Amino acid sequence: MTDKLLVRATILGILVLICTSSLHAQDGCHIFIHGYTAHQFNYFGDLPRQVLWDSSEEIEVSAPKVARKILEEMETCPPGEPIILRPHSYGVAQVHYILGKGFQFQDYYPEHDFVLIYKRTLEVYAYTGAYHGTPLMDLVCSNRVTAALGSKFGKSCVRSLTTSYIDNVFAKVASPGVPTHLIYSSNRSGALGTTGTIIASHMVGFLNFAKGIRNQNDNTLPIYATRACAEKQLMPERDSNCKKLDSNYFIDFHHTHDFNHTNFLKMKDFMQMGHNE
Amino acid sequence: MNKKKNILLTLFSLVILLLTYRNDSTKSGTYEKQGINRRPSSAIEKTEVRQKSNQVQSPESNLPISNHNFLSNRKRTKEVYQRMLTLPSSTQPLDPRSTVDPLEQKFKAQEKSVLGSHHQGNELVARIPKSYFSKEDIYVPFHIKTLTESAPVNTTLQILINNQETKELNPIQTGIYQYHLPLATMKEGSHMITIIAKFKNEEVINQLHFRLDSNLVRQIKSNFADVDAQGNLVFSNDYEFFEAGPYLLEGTLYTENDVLIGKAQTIFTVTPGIRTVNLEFYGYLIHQRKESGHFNLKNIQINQVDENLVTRGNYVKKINQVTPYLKWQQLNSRPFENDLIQEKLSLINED
Repeated sequence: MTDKLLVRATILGILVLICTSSLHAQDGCHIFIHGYTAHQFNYFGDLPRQVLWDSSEEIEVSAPKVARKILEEMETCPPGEPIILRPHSYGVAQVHYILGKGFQFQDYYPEHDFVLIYKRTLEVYAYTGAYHGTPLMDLVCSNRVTAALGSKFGKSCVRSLTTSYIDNVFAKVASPGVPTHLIYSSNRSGALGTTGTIIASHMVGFLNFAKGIRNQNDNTLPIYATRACAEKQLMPERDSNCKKLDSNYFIDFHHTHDFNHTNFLKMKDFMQMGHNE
Repeated sequence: MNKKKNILLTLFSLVILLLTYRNDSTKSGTYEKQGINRRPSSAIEKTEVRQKSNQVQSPESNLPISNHNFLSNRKRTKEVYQRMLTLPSSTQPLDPRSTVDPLEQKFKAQEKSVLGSHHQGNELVARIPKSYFSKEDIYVPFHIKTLTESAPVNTTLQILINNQETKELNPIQTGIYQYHLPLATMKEGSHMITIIAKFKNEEVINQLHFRLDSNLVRQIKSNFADVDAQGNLVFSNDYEFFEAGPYLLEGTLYTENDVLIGKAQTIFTVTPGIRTVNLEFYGYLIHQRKESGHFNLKNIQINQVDENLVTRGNYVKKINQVTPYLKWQQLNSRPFENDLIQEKLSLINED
């Protein structure tokens, strides 16, 4: 009798643990991809599964290398676990490019790295993403950046990050094919306000500027970039809205006015938002 | 009996150990509860969500982090996949209320205005008719305006192409300049034009980018536009290809009232010569709208694709290929079974 009870209790216990484990296991395996930086290490603090890559390269050159590294990180995830990508800034452009190409060519090149990543990725949390570029990079590329600005923003010309209509990721890929939750900021503090002020006058004509209208930004990227707007446009209010290049997949998820483009990167809760605890 | 108990207990313990290890490996590590229960800042609290009649509001966008519930967010992911489940990846819906025609967007004129950083009303405006050119475009004018407090003024104006100094321009009228891009002498690829205007008290810089492609393909003629036996919309055209290789054809579809419906694509490999290529829109895209009428393949784009999936060519054409009158019941009533999306949906658990 006692033996029978013990056997039943054991079986029941095992079943409960398996079920609970399965539920928890569907949480996801999170992979972080940094942005434009000369300092790759410690970008996200001690968050696990960080993809390190050379952000001075153009998207079409760097994306295959980033894809390879994402696949390597995916190999460390438990089998069958859904993949969640969490890129920041230029990293968002990389991920969008990889997923978009993977989505577009899934039937024709099924073994391509981009396609393999697309197939396994469940969703993306895009932190202040560079879907379009910034006028700060225009200054860098035209050799007109001051030493002070260069030290804060960077000195490598990356056309994919300028306000170019042909080099941004949106000129190359429209749909990511994967639900993408957008996190964006309207806080343009930092860098003594210099970078925010430069971007604030971007696409603002003289008359509008005289009226006090400013293009909202997060001190590095205009909001039209981080909100994945279809067009480069004036966004005069913090909650100005826009049409997306592909509204099937982009979801406005979190708007912060507390943090600018970069000062949340080592905040684990911010970088893992939407994740079960 | 004792032996049985021991075996069972050992088995039980092993299972617990195994599952505990697996649970630990799925977590991203312990982390401080920094910010998660922070009170929202006054800036966020005070930000009002202003209703604008022509815009979509995101209800969660101004909430503090602690309100972003994992399960509700997964629900939104699930909703996206469920919407896309019934179409193949080659056919995608586009809602003009919340998105744009990506082909029209890509190929429209480019105009950019830059204000002087000294805030003295100096403005430099530059415009080119499009961003993508081919060797067929021999001369392309681009226009520049220099203004102070919205009034045209003459300045010293310099043009650089790819940071190589070219020339100083003279105005054709007060504050208006024109420059013809010498495409015939330029290489295939991306190019950058820098315009430097020297006003009385400051220098203002503007920058435009454009791309020059070789001619790889051109449309010769339309063959037919109709519904096939499966109820899918097919648009057939002849194209002349100048280079062999894989190509990507994309097109955007409109109703007869010029309302954007969706986009489709096809990928194929050809050798040089005139080839017939069909572009198919999965009929369920139209069937579910329950809308009858003529359907217009408005814009097409053809690119060559390399092994890194990089595209070149950027041939675009406003084709306006229209079907005969179709009843929505003629279109494919069967939702597509997208296995990959189904697989992703199975990974999403709900309470």
